[in-house]
Amino acid sequence: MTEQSGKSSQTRVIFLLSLLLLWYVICKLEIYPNYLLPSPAMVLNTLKRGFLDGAYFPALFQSSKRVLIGYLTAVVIGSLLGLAISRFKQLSNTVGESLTALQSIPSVAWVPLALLWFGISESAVLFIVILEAFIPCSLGVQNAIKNIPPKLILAGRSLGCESFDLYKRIIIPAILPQLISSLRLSWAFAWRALIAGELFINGSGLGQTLELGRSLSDMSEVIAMMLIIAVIGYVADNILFRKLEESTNHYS
Amino acid sequence: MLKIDKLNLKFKANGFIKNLFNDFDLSVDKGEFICILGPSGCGKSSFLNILAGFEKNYTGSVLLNGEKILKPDIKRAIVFQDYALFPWLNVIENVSFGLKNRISNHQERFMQAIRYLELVDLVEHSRARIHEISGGMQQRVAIARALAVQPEILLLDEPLGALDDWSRRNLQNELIKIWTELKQTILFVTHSVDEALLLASRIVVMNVNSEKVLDIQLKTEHPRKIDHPESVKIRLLIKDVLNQKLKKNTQENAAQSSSGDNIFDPSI
Repeated sequence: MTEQSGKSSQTRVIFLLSLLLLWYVICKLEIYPNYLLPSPAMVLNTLKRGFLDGAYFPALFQSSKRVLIGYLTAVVIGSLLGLAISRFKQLSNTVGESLTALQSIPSVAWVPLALLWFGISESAVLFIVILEAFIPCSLGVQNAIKNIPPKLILAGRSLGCESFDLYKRIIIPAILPQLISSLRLSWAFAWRALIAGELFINGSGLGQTLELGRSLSDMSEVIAMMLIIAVIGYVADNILFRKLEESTNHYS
Repeated sequence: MLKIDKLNLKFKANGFIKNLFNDFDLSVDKGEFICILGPSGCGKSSFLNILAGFEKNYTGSVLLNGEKILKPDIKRAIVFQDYALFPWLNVIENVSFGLKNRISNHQERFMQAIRYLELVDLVEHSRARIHEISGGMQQRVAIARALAVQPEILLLDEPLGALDDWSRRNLQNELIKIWTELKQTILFVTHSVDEALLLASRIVVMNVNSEKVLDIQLKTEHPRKIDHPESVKIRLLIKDVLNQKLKKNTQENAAQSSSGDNIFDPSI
């Protein structure tokens, strides 16, 4: 590790500790009652109990399963749609245009329809996750293809690449860096949509546990869930996807 | 080898339909180093696009060894001004790119690529990433990539336009070496008169209306000097022809009060 990055991770730790301290002090001063703002120790206790009892594991498992299935489906649909829209002008004028409009609808707005169509079930959540996550992926692929320097395509064609080969050897590698960025964006959308959807359905999951905490007025449960959601989101985004992005840095 | 008869290309620009080439004829023999010289916007690049097979909506006949040119093919390799290398591949992978369909063995492909990297003096950089090498080196990689498929004709679209003086001179010598060693047929498009005089075995001059106005063989041996008597004579001739044609054009234009034509580029 270089001195620079060692220093910046030091600052990060200090920042997080001071946030924690602030939270602790506010609780200690008893500005808000405990049932509105539980102390760090209470949340820590809830987390400890949840993990030691094993109560959180089914929730984590179910949520991960849902988000992975939904996300992967969305990525496949989104990438293929993006490729198709870039290839056919008619599609771009019709479907391509409406995607941008679709993107401005937040996932929660789909919940009533999803519940009506699929019932209070897992399928409703999957529907919302896929719907949310395929759009950034598709738009990203379209944009990336539009940005390929035309000369690269011509060079590829004059070196013997046509049709399928052109996709395999020129277009896909050329869009890879931007594709990974859109996968990252899609992931963030999928993760939010998952939690939003889970708030409304039965069974186990992070969203359901959070909602349960709300109905029992157990704010330390709510905050514990929020922390877990944040940590998983952070790990995926900043560790997994950043590594992937760095591996294509030499492209530009 | 390359035979062009009555070439015409119609295309739309700013709402005007423009006719390029005006029954252009050209016949290129094996082993010639032809420079197509003309002012900016005279259709030189469109001409190369037709030869490369990117543009097929022309009329007339364009034949390479009796075969009509309608799509890209490795028999006609092209080098662009901005290199157009594949940044996700390293130097040797770029050079062996076009060999994929011809040589199935990975190792043999690299062996062939190495031969062409030797020719352009880049063997020690064969594993380098594209962004790690200079513009001049990138253009040499692009030339090696085009030569590696052993094309019948090498098309060069102002390949030295983006380079600094030093790299340009270097690459000019490189091209002369390639031409003399490989007996490679080369068709080189440029707007620089001096470059054409240094390199070509034959110069074809186009005017702003993309008509052929001059077709001269150059006799002087390489390497040439810019102030060689033959060069000086031909330079004057070229400038004369282009200026005359320009004058005639402006008179015609004034008479017909038509607009939308290209303006002569004084930089040549």
